[in-house]
Amino acid sequence: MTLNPLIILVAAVFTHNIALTYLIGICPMLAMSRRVGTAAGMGVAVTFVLAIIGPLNWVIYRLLLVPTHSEVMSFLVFIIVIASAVQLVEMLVSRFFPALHSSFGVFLPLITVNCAVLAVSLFVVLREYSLWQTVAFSIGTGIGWGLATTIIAGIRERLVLIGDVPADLRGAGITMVIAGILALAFIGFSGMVAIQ
Amino acid sequence: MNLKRKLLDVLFIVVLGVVSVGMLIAMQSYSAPAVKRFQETRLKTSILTAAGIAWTQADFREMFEQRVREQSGDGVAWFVADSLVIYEFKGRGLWGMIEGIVTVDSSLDHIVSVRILAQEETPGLGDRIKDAEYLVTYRGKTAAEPLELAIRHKAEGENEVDAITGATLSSQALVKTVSDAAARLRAAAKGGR
Amino acid sequence: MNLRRIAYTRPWRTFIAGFFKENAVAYQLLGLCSVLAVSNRMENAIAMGLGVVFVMTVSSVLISLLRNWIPSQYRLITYMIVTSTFVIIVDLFLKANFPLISSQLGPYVGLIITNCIVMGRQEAFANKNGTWLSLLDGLGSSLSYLYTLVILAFFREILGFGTLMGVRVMPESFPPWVVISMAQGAWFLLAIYYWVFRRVAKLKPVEQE
Repeated sequence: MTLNPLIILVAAVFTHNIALTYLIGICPMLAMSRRVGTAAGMGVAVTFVLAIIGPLNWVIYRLLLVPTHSEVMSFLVFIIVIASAVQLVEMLVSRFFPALHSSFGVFLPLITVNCAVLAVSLFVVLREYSLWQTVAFSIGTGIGWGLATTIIAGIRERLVLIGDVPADLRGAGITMVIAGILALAFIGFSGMVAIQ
Repeated sequence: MNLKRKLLDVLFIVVLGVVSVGMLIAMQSYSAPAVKRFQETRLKTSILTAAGIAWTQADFREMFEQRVREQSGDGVAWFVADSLVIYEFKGRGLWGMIEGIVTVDSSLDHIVSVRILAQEETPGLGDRIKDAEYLVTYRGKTAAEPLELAIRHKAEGENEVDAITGATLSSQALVKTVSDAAARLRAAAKGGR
Repeated sequence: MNLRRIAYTRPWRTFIAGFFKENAVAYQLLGLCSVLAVSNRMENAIAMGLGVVFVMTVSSVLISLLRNWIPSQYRLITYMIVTSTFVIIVDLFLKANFPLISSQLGPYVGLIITNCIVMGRQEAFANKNGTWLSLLDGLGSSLSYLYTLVILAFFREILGFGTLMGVRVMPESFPPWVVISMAQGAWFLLAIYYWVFRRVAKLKPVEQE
């Protein structure tokens, strides 16, 4: 598939949004969508980490796993790389960008468990993307996830101001309804781009 | 002391990683021959079924030897049984690879049947591509041109296939994979003949 | 033995907490990705649910056994390594010995490894408690996941396909609600489940933000 990386990026944000179309990375999406600030911050952090880890896992897969016929360990290796890379990034950010660390630092450990990161690593292998396509896809996925979370956060903030959410539906319940409406809305994008 | 603690922590992870990887490699080599045997069985019995040849667990290998001829050309392999040509296809689905066999008539122009051997599509939706009720819609479709998915209307003509409602992406993946395999086969087989 | 006494023992309370009030999906909000994807048919719900029960029970025990050695900083990565290794080994074992079952479960393997429930309970419980209690906690939580899946699948299959376990239930004239069989539509059913469950379990409503 020789898809223009830019198309892949746009697709990952809108038409094949990892959170709303593939429904991956939902748990952190629900948890982080209380405030727009938190959601956007997490989105930026996820995009940043993905931009590093996506290509990194791609390189490891191509240069290490394939030549040694150890593809069966992809899952395991990717998970270890993700956890280690996130720790490393956190250390580097706290050392060299302390201001950044005080605002975004708290999000970093949560990214390890964001399934979207692992999913990106697995998808680029499945779809046999080139390195540039992988970079585009990783960044696009991060932006897409961040966008979905931020939109939901925006709606939730407004809802608190306007509405009287039924008692037992508050919190996660109403978020699920919002996510459902948003996911349905995003189906409208499908067919715009064919990426497989 | 802090450094020692950190080193011990890292050592734990390294040991855990090595033990895990070791167990995986061991398990992989243990299961590899059995997996290979299973895949061979699955392919041969599917080909026999597609060709309409009766088989049993005991004699399928014999039946395969007797009634099916394997041919190849241009790096592509196919199987000939009576007047049917059967070949494998393998392509990317939504979550994993879709593998199967296509049976075409001797002119290589029309599809007789499609059968899925392995897929990892969304359970309940995409994975309905493996259902006989869906695959039967491929019967009679052309193998001479690329097939297209009919979205928002019922499939008309030999070169269109219906999609599964709610599973457009998986249906699309299957159509593309089948079309590509057909094109590859025709190029290789006709080139030889 | 007086059976009613069992209700006050720690093991029982651990099990029942995970099984009922601390429902993995409606209370702890874990494992949502897979719930949305897999609860569209009863067959899939049961297969995935049983897979999670098995994996959770065993890996909770494994983590509990290792809990005194796991470095605090590498907790999450340890859970992930242990769980994924275990799941892949089981998957390879099934591939070799029960290939038909393995091909049915193939798509779920990845979903089970990344299922937050497994890691969530390991972090919240197995890492701090003894083996027997961890086993019961894992069992209770994963069974709560299983019955959640089954309840959702009951409605989703009937409304989305008109069948139950593959058997036609709704009349032929019933137009299937395709939306609800897709994960995007499942959100709404999940919200209703959340609502009803919290009522039934008499859980305290979340504070208005």
